[in-house]
Amino acid sequence: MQQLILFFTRYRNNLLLVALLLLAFIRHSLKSPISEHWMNTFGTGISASYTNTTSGWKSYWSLDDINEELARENAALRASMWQQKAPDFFRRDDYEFIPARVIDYSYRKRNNYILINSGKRMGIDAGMGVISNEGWVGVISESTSNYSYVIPFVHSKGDIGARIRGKGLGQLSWTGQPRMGIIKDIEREFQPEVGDSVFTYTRAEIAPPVLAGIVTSREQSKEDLSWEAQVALSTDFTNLNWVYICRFEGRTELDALKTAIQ
Amino acid sequence: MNVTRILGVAFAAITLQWLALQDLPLTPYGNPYIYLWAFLVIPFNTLKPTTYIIAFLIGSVVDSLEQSGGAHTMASLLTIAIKPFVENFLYGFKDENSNHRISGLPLGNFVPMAAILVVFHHSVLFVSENAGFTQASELGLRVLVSSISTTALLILGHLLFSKRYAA
Repeated sequence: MQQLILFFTRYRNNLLLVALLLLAFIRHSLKSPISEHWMNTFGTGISASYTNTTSGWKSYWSLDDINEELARENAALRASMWQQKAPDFFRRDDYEFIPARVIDYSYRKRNNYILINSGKRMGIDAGMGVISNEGWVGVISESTSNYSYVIPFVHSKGDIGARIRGKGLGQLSWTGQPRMGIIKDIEREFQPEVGDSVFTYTRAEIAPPVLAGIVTSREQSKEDLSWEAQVALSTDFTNLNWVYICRFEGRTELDALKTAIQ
Repeated sequence: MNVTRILGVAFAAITLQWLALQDLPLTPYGNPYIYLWAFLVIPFNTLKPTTYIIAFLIGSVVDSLEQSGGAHTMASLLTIAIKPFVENFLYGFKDENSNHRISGLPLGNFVPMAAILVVFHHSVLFVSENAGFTQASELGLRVLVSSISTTALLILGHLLFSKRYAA
């Protein structure tokens, strides 16, 4: 016992360092959409309130960009009146698109994030898909009354199912480079072509299929002859101002059905 | 310099970073992390447990603001842990005998000390964020570019605020 006390006394500094490192490591290794919910809610709240306050003057300096984005969105809306741009395998009627302003985001890290100024009060909840007028953005991982935290596609856990129009399904992942993704495991009979549009393919509760990018090159595996293709992402994650949260209208009904089956 | 004053410097540095540096498109490969300035104003004779707790607090605050798990905390703790060894290795400071601090050194001595600590901190930070060494070339580039921008800002801060150079 005495030796144990002597040991703790002698190495107390190192033990303190190890204990603090362990705490940090646990917090880091538990970093997932679920642990984020209780570990980082406090930080999310503080940072959301803070950045919402400070983003006022920042918005002033980016008015040109916002105007340009509004103009582009306006143009897209007008175009959609005349031409059905959506792919043929989904109905937009099933979803309500809730607009939200991006108050903070990162794009330079391996694990990026987006904070938006809409939360549970607007009917937003974890698991809902987020899109912009350019295409796929990510998934809500947690939300407070007025703010939500989005795990964007440019995150190590941002992979999604994807589908090339008229061709096979695959897994779309971020390569780590700005605006580049890679779609893998496309069956050999569905050879992707450069210029093919890639749409997301997620569960109905998350989002309808939306444009994720355009195929820029392809390669066939010599082992199982499956295809993989480089994809230029449609969304510019370095410049986000407004996004839309996809609320599936049939979500309550679907949840009730799942509960009934269980 | 007492603990309150060090934490005050840290608070000011974090505020500056969050208010002004966070969204600047200085580089597409990583922000400069000016909060490291707080580590440079810690006197050499500060007790190790105190430095560990300061580093833990600063890292935790930045992690909460950046949603980066514990990456900044781990990087800060390890940086503060190696700081006395770097000081002793480069200039032979004995941590219990000197009330000086890195930010009080002449520029010629300040730069290598700051650069070593910054590169070490950023390496731990980006490897933690990356959860390993995948995409090593991009990881290396991020460490390099971000370290250069942080060191440049620290040198600027040193020239502006150090008593040695301030007008």
